[in-house]
Order: sequence, then C-alpha cells, then structure tokens
Amino acid sequence: MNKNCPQELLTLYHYDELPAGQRREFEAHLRDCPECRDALAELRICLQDIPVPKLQLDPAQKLRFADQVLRKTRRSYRPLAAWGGALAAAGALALAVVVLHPAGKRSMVPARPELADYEILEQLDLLQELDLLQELELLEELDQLG
Amino acid sequence: MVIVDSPVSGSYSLPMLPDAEKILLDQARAGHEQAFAQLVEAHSEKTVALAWRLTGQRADAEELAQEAFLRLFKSLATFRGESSVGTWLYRTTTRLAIDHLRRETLKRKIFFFRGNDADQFDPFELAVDPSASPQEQLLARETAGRMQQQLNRLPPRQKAVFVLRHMEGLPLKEIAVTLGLEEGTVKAHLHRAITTFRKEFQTAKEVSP
Repeated sequence: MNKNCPQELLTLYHYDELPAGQRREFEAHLRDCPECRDALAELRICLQDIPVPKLQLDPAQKLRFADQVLRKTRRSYRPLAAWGGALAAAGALALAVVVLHPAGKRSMVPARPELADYEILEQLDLLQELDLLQELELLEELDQLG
Repeated sequence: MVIVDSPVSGSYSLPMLPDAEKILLDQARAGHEQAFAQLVEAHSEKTVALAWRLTGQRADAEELAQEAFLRLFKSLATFRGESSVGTWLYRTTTRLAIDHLRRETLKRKIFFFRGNDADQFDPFELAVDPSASPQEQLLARETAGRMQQQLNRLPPRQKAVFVLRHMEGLPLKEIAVTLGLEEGTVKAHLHRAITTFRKEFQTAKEVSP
C-alpha cells in the first residue's frame, strides 16, 4: 500500500460500507495493487485478534438483574415522597402555630374598621386645629402691625 | 442528555415480539411493576453485553445497564414507541458508557493515575483455535491481550464507534444517529481506530519471534 492508495477506503471496504459505485472502483484498484491486497489481508487477521466479550445470562441472573432495577425504581420515587411528606408536615405545623398561638391569634385578628376610621378622623381634627392656631397667630401678628 | 426515540432501521434483533412489548409497556405505564420487570429481563443480556464491550468492565457494565433501565422507567410516560425499547436502550447505554469513559479518563488525568491498563479492565474470554499448537495458542493470547489494551486506550467516542461497528455489527448510518454525529465523522473515527490496531498489530509481529 503506497501513500497514494486510499487508506480510509480499505477500512470502509472491509466493513462493506462503500456505495456500490465506489466499491466497484476500489475492487478494480485492488486487482491492480498487490500492496493494498496484502494490507487488506493483514487488516482481516488483525481484526480477528481483537477479543469480543460474549455474555450469556441464565434465567436466574436475569431475574436478579431485573430485581435490582426494580429496587432502584422504587428508591427513585422515595425522595419525592419524602419531600412531599416533609412539606405537608411543615404546612400543618405552621397552620397549627398560627391558629393556636395567642400571639398569632392577636396578630391575625383584623382591626375593626370603625375603630381605624375613628383614629384617622382624630388625626384630621388635630390637623384642622393646627390650621386654626396658625390662623390665630397670623391675626395676632396683623393686630400688632396695626 | 436528551434521548430521542425516533425510528432507526434496526440491526438490533428484537428479544420479544413488538405486540408483546407494546402490551408490557402499556401495563408498565399503568403501574404494573411485573410488566416492567419482564421488559428488563427480556433486554438485560443485550444491554449488559453492550455496556461491557464499551466499558471493558463487567461491574461498571451492570451499573450502566441498570441506569439505562431506570431512565427508561422514568421516561415511560413520554416514551412514544416510535423506536423499539431495544433501540432506545441501545442509544441510552452507548451514551451513558461514553460519559462514563470520559469521566474515568478525566479522573485518571486529575489524579495523575498511571496504573497498569491490564489491571483496569476485565480480561475478555479469548477464543483461541484449539487445533493450534500450545506455542501458537500462547502467542494468540498475547496478541489478543495487547489488542484489548489498545481498545481500552482509544478515546471514548472512537471506541464507541469501533465497538458498535465491529462487535455489534451496526451500520455506520445507525451509529451516526445513535451518537448524534455526522456520518463522515463516524467514518473518520472508525478509520483512526483501525489505524491504531494495525500499528499495534505490526509492532506485535515485530516483537514476536
């Protein structure tokens, strides 16, 4: 195989991955190129030496494997269930504290609207009184000026 | 990692009839644990074997295969069934194995771990010609051992392409779909892997008497 020989085609030819036209062309090249023929023969011997692991599981092994997978699927749901339970418990606890605790009760009782209104009115009255006082002061100043 | 269950013209031989598989899938979706267990049993051998060929370690292979089945279980609700369960598992296992190999490579780089390659991988059972002389058998075992070490040294994606084509017999087009690569890239990976093996083979020939 010399430098000009299409090396990648040798690999693809071995694995029967060349399109029909390209395959015919490469076969024609092989007929004329003893180096490529040798390279192909060597490639085939080389690939035979690569060990391929073969696996056979008997029914008991398959059953054991399936059992391990099922255990993992059950475990994969557990954290979600645990979080759900924890959240529910926290919610219930928070509700209990708010409802049963006296301080909580006080803070949760809404202020009576009429009482709130009265407080606002009182503040408004004070403002009006302050205006009156200011007006009186102005009148006094005018008096002094004559 | 996104796994799409689009159809692929399969060389993956079905361990069960498509109708039977569909029924089991429906039952598993409805919450029948035993139906899912049956699916696992039917596909376990092929899935573990693939993971073993890709990782080179039996214990890791079982872990990866279990992870692939766990992902299938979690995807049951969205599994459209456009590809068979086998094809879906094939893709998932291959991608999980590539990720695993990358992590292992990185770990070795980070911790400057330079252990003996032969110790890190389980030796595959070698089929040596029984009619050969003891000396020839010994030589064949040695060569096979060297080739296996070479296989385990390949970059993860290159190794996956080689294993899928050479050991699993998957056409390059399907490998491209499985790995989400261009066909030309897959061809290049395969050729590079083959070049590595040929070099090793020539070195072994020069070393042996």
